[in-house]
Amino acid sequence: MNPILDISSFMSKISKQTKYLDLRYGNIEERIINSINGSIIKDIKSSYSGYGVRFLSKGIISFTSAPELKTAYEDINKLLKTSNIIATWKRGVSQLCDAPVVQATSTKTPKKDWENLEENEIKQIISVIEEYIREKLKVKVRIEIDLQFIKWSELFKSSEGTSIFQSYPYTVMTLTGRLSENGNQKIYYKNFGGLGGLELLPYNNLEKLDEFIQIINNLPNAKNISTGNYNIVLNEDIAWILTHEVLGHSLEADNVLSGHSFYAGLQGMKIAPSYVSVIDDPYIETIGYYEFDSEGMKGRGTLLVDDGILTDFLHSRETAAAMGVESSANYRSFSFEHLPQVRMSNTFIEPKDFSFEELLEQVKNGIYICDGFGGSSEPQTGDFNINSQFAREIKNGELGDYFQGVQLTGKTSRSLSLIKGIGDRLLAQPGSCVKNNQRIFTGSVSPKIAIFDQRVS
Amino acid sequence: MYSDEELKEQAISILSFLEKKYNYDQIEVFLQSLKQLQGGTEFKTPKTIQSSTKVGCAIRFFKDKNLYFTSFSLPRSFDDLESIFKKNMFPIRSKHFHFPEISGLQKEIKNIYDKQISQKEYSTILELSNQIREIGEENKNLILDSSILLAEERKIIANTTHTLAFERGTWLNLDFRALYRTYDMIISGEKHYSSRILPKSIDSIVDSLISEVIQRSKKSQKLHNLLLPVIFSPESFSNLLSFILIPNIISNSNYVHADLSEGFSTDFNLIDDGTVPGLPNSTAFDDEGIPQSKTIIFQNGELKNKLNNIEESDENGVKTGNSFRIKKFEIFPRNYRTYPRVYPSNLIIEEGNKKFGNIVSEFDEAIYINAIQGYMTANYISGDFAISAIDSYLIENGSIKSTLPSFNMRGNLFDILRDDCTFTKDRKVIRPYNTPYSFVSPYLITKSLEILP
Repeated sequence: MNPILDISSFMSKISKQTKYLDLRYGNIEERIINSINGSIIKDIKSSYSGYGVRFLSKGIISFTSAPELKTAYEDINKLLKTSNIIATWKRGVSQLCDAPVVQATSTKTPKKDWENLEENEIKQIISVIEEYIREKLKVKVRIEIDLQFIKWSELFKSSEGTSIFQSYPYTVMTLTGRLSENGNQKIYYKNFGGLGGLELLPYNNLEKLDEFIQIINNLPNAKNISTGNYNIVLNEDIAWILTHEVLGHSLEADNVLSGHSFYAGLQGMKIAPSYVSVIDDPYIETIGYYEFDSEGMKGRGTLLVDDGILTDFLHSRETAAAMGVESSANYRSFSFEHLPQVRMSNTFIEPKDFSFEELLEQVKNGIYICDGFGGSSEPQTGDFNINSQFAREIKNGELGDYFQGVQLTGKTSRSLSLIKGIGDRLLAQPGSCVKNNQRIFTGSVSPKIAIFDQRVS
Repeated sequence: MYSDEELKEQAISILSFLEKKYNYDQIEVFLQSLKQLQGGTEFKTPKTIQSSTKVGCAIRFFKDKNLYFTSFSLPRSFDDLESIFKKNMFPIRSKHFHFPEISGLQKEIKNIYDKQISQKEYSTILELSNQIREIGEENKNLILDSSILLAEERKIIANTTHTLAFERGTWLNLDFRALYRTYDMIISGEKHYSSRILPKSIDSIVDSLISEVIQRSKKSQKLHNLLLPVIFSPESFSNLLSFILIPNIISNSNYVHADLSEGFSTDFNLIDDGTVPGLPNSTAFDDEGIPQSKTIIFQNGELKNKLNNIEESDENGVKTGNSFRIKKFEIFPRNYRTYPRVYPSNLIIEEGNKKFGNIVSEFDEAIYINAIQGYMTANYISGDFAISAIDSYLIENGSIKSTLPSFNMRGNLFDILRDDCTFTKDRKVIRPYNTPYSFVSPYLITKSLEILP
């Protein structure tokens, strides 16, 4: 099927009745392979396509998604009547900021494609990883390897004349170790992969698995931590969770405008020490990469916190218009089925000049907290709660015993003010984010950071 | 886009095509059509109206006694289908089983379909929004927002027994948010409500949200006595159960379960019942075509049955009808694209003897916990958990007094359910965030917690 021909006539029909219209035709091919102890237990394939149409009429934005343009057309006619009802309730609540008209194509192709892999090749990848881990393991563990392969493509067209085609491949491997002993279970997992194909998996670079193996080997002897306030170093993964969940979501302009952010009204104020800067950058080639967002705006880096000063928020064209600024090109949705929202791409604290050893030395005695395991925050107050998969003692500036997963609780403003050191390199891993029931990929990108006097339990 | 008859014809034509084209041992066709309308208010202004239509098909088939799965959106040409089935696939690790013979069409499960919801008119959303707005206007310090979803799902299952099941159901999802403004702070609170039919009134839900946020604005007091009994709200108790007990009552041959043979207190009775009229997850049949049923899980503290689907049950054993195709993090969590797995439908915990208010009045000093965080890291094999109470209150001299700042605690849910649990007579219907099933849960009272300084 060539959807472009249908799209043109559809758009010209709807454009006459609306002030603005954009359409996304998406096609997503996904394959998920689960294995346990080297044996494949599930292979789930799905393939779906359809249209997402957003339009502005009488100051009201509406959205519909459907597998066919005919259904979308019927729904739009119904929604246009709804716009009339809402417009009498409150007029002109929405507008979009100006945007350049663009004709572009952005595609990435995997170096090593997974699409036509023979069964034996996939089995081989799993077995190479499994055998390498098994050889070095000193404990009895169940190993789960979950592979997710996605081919994502989307054609974007707007009534302003913009037309963009984007196509990206994603490959993610989640490696999980489960130890069961004495009626107890300990789990550790790690993600590999990102934007690209099989070349991102560690089967050709097996030493990338060594850290996973070392952690699993030490988990059986991991101790419980005593609750208290500690000076801490966060590894890249959990530092990203802190940046993303606790700070990043509060800097999304839709959250700011809807009362979901304690940073509303603080633009231009100092919210962190002078050596802390926070950036959102979709051009880092992680799983959070994109060239254009879901309303055809070309991605650009946004300096959110500049030397401790809150300078900007993440925007869509709608939130930018509401705040009288330009869009930061962060209006995103993974699937045509959903209305996009303001989302992060790769949001991270800018790296500084501390090596890992120097961060440990800075803390001297405290806790090294590693790898996030979920968390939540209160948007109005900045109270947060983040769980880690494991932690290690820092004694005289050296890493010591392992601790089981710990919980980090605090208030964002206080924690940011107590950042005492930022690592000198960024680590990028695949991450994901759920906002209002929509999941998208975001880069888990961060340096290590040291924070003093934090509540750990 | 498809009428009911056209959907059935689609299912039958896909089944016939696969039967003729490929020499598979058995085939199951699952078709889902989902139409949704979403709206509401945010800061008293209307939210973007969203409508969506999703139609898709999932196929499971046995070839050389191996089970395979694939899914695709509709419409599709048969040429498209051929290309999907040409691609390499690995079999699902499963024992060999037979797709069931499905008897009849939609069974008489009451209150799973509401004509007004199925029409998906914006006026329904507007009416609900106005009701909420009017309640909010009674207190000028309050902002009440809502997110409202009207959904209609039609599902069809056809398989090589040449029987077919069809169900049309509706779903209402309401998310409320209240912001309460006082001199030096803004208090926020949220409530989720799911139902298959429109409620007669939403006043009681909104009123309870308002009283909660106003309660939270009360003066905060530091917790000095760490040895107090604790009352968990139905919401927080359900959160603990979801992550600790529920994984152990689901048959899943791929995972290790906790040893619950020792049993729990005789006061603990738990059933799964997908047939209760009006409860959020009642259906006529599950996503394999097995009729929904009432399954006793714990009776007088003793584990009687685990929930199963065809794949996880004995060929001639009891089928509990708990196979669902669940996509987490979606407001309407059922999605044809996911492989069917065992999930509860509606979990009903037996009530206790005393009402919540009476229990509170008997305490000189206790803690009431309305909301918790950190339960996702609980250990479902050992039952251990470490959580933070983020919305809690000190009970003094028989009534709820001041709010408490966040504090951490740890405990073991299995020990609590075995040795130290009291349940209230009053229960609430809860669908914990991001779970596809619901609870009818009482409050839980226990002294077996370690509150951390």
